[in-house]
Amino acid sequence: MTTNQDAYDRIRAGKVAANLGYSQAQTVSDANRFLDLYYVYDDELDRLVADELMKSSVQYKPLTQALKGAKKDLEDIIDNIQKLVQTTEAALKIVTIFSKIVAII
Amino acid sequence: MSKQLRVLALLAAAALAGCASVDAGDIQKFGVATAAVAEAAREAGEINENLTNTIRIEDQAGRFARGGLRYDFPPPYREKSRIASGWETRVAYAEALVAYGNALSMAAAGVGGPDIGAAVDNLKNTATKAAPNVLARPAFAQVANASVIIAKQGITMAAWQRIQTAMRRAHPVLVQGNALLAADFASVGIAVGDRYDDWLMMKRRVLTAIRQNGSAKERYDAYRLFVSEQQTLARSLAILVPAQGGGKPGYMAVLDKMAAAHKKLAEGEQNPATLAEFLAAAQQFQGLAEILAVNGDKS
Repeated sequence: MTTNQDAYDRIRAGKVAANLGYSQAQTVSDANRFLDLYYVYDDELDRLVADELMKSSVQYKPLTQALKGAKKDLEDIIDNIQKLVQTTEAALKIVTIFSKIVAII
Repeated sequence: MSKQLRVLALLAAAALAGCASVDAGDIQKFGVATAAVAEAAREAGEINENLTNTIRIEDQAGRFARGGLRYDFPPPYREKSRIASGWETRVAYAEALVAYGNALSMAAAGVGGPDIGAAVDNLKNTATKAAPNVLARPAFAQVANASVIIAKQGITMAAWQRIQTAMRRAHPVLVQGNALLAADFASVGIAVGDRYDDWLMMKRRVLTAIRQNGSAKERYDAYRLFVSEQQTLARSLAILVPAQGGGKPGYMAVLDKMAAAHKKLAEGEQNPATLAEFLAAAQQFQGLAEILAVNGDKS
């Protein structure tokens, strides 16, 4: 769970109170005030989550690079297999030639 | 020519038994799991943005329905959420994960694919036919071994071990990436869950007003419509917010599946004794290859 649980709880309580205040507001100005209050809390929620994400963002770059490196390793293996197929086919020709030479001599 | 024959040493493994095999099913599971993680990463970035817009529209509709309050039509423009603007590094990581999964699938297909199998089978058949003639000459006495020590398992095992080495190196990266993604999904999930509760509150408020003022049909239709909207919205949030009645958000299962599939592949059983046998056979054939190469160059 997040390290900012207290902040989240406070924001949640504020939003619930703002929504309740809006529902029960008797005047237009009160209703508008509670709506504004709701968005203040909502904006704070956005900022809090964005800040948490910002902290972990820097950790993705080396991991992404490492995965690209692992992909390159696998691509090298794919190339190697292709070369092995070609070499095996070349070796087949050699064995065939030897077979014929030895049969003659 | 010597280089070509040297590679034949890699094919030596007649005595191999129970060598590691490429499990196409497991690789497919991993590929599907990486695609699911990438989809979840893309979705998570969009869900919060879409939900925030939905709430703005609901808010304006609620103001309009209540009357007396300021409202905008169309709903006011708003800046992109700060959450969305920092999310792309996760998507980039998830896309690298999918590319890695695709490369793994291609490598495994290359190992178990028809090309290498056909090439080695042809070589083995020809070597087997050549052996009786070759045996007649002492210089090529060792060729007798060629007919029995050229085997597909050797090449399969050698390549598969290289794949597994690459996977073992990558596994800690995946574990670390999973933990990071899980924490980030949880953070965004808090915001999305919170905003979903706000949306429900707004809907309940409108339902209350309709119940007080509407006809029976209006009340019935409104309720049915709102339930339909709520179910659609809940489904769209499922990757981040648990379904009604508890449970885990979808991202947990997605990440767990991916990590489990990779772990199973990376830790595929290897038999050290089998590997030692393979290496010994390869060395034996290496000597044979040298003889063939020297004599071949003379021919």
